[in-house]
Amino acid sequence: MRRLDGALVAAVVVGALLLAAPFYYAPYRVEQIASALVLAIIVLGLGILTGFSGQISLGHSAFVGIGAYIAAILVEDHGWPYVATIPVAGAVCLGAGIVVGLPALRLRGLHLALVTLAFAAVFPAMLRRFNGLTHGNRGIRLDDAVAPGWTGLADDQWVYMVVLVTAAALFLFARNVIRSRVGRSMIAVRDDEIAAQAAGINVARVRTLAFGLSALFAGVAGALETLLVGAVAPSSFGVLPSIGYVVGLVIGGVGSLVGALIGGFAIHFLPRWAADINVQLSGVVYGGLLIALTYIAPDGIVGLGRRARRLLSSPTNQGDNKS
Amino acid sequence: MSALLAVRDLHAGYGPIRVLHEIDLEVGTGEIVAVLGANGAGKTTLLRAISGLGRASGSVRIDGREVLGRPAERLARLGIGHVPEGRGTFIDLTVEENLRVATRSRVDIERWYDQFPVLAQRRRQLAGTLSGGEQQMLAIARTLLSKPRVLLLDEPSTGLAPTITREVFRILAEVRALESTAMLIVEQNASLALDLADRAYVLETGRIVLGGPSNQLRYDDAVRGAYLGY
Amino acid sequence: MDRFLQQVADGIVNGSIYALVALALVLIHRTTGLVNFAQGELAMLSTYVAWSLLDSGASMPVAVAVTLAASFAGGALIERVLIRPVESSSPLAIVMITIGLFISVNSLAAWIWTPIGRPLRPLFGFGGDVFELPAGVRLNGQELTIVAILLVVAGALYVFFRLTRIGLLMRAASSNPTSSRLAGVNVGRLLMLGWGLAATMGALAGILVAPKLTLSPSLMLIVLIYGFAAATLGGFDSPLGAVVGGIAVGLAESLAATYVAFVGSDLKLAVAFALILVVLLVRPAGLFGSRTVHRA
Repeated sequence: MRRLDGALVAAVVVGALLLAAPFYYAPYRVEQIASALVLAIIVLGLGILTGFSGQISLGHSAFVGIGAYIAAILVEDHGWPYVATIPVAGAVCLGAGIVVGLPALRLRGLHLALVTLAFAAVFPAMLRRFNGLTHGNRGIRLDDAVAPGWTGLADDQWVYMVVLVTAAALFLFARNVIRSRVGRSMIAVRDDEIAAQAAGINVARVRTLAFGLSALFAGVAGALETLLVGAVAPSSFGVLPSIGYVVGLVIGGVGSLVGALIGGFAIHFLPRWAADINVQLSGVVYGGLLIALTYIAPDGIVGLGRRARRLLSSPTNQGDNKS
Repeated sequence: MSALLAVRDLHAGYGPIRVLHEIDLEVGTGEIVAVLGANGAGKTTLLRAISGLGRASGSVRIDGREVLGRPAERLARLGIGHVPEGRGTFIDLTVEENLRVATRSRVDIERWYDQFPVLAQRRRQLAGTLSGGEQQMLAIARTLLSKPRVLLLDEPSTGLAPTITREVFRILAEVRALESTAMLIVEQNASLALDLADRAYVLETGRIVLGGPSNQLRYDDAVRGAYLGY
Repeated sequence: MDRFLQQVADGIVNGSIYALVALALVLIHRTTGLVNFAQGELAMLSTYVAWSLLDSGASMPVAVAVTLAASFAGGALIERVLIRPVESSSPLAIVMITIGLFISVNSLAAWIWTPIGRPLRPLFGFGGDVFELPAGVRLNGQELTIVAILLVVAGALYVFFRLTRIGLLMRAASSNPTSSRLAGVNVGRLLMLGWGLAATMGALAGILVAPKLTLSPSLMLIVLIYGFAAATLGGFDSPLGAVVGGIAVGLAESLAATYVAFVGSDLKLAVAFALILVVLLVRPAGLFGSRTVHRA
């Protein structure tokens, strides 16, 4: 009972802080927090794919890119309002994710990582190729978003709120999925595919659905990013961002909602802090951190938290066994 | 008289799961000792603990020298020859290559080809294509090529037809006669094991519950009921 | 027809580079069952080391020899220090570590040498000379060197694995590490050897291809993807497959870029991707791979 209260209190506190942020900080800072939230959404989707259904993807920047470009094209070429593009981006990416998930059924582990990596590498080139639609290499530049008059918010605050509300909705959605039968099926498939199949779970459906959902999250995040940044270009979506998302997942803790939030903030702010020291060295710090975390905290920061809690609560409990 | 292989107060397991408790056993020079027990009794864990593959506490001595805790490749060079469960042949390598892993000596390899003509016939074949019995002979030959002081065999009869199993055990008896190699054999097939071995122990849920000369154990009521089926 | 043959020749040259990278990948996969995502970046780092040595006045043979030796040591060290402790962990953990290496090394190179492209001389003096081959095909000295070196390396690896004792022990260790240990084989040292060799081959590939592409931190990423495609096509367990796969990928890239209008020069990489995907779906073991590649 106490633990549940603790989590609830923490959630409320965090929620309140996030809600208050745009009224307290300067616009550039507000934008940064919003970016971190967007990253958290992507990491969350990736967490559903990797943490709950056990499939590795190094190519999620492609889905983010699809969502981002859909939003940009709809707004710039067809005059849509920003907010309306978000569900469209999500829906299209849900479909795209399912389509990608189908061939991924035959691939496991390192093979899947490889294919998705190649996918991420090819994606910017594909964007450039279809330049009729995507405006080619120079990308699309959009007008900044304007807050509707009835909200009484400044422009940056309005954008932030859109991001926050969407993020909250998606986190709730993720929570419900994980606790539902679908979520449990995913975990069953991840832990032992053959046993899951024997238990009557449609493994193919679960795995493709996991891909679709994670792509949906990424697509929505892409649309939000277009809203935030006001521009899209092929160079923003490639191998390095994809890897960044996986780093965020590992830092936060695979398979944890809170972890996704931590991960998103980590991959937004860590490179910036490291870059304050030296731009190129930030990559070294990043990579080094990733390696170090894999040893020390394979379950991410959330895993560390769990271990700390166990150690503190029970003096005889020694934690994981490694044989 | 110090035994060739002396195990004292051995405890072993996997992580928090303890499998073996307070194991004491001995194998003397030139002796064949059997360890009987049902599935899950801990027989494989025992051999792995002795050969260095698994973690254990207690004492394992070869010729009086403490060797517990050393890595498996070191123990192999100190004279422990472990033929693992499932044979452990290199299925992607040919028979010839399997043997060459163990030794550079052409003479020694030819000698074992004479002992096992069927291996000589199949020397260029991939080990994975051999029958179970042939792979067992290959595994034994390969291990013997390292000139071990004591041979550890993990359930040599598994998956083999009765005639083949008898052949394998006959070969083991011959090896002992020729080389005086000591052997520690864990087996579910108690009857064959007791025929071959000089002494035997009975392992139940990780503890030695009985030990003595095989003739004695063969007529022990408890052993008969549980392992010999009559 | 002339143009076709020229494209074929170019494809074989590029394919040789991919084959070298694929050989490195196959070597690591055969010994440890892993895919090394950082292979390209390590090769790039080695190439920069070579460039630095040349830049500070070393002769080509010295620079190359030192670089190869340093790469060997580096590869072995990485196996011992970074990979060995987590070898038995989940695939995700190992992917993470090689990816961490990928990012670190890439940034390290950019930090030390800055992202500006550097020129690297061809390996031999005649590298810049153009040779007229039969049927109107023209290749320069460096390109011929690349193909020749691939053949030498592939031949040397074949001899190494099939005819030497260490090669036999490495094959045994990859076939069954436990039995190898029980036979007294020091598996750990063989793993270090495998990674060292792979790093050396990667370095060689980098040194050979840099003059063509200009040396920059992003040099090897694309080459790596092609190398992956080659290894996938040929089978991650087969050195022969790596060579055949590499040449095949080189040819496919070259011919598709010219003859398939849709592809153009942007989407050449898509050819590699499509190849990887199709092979993994249709025949995951590749053309020459034999074992099931899944590790529990």
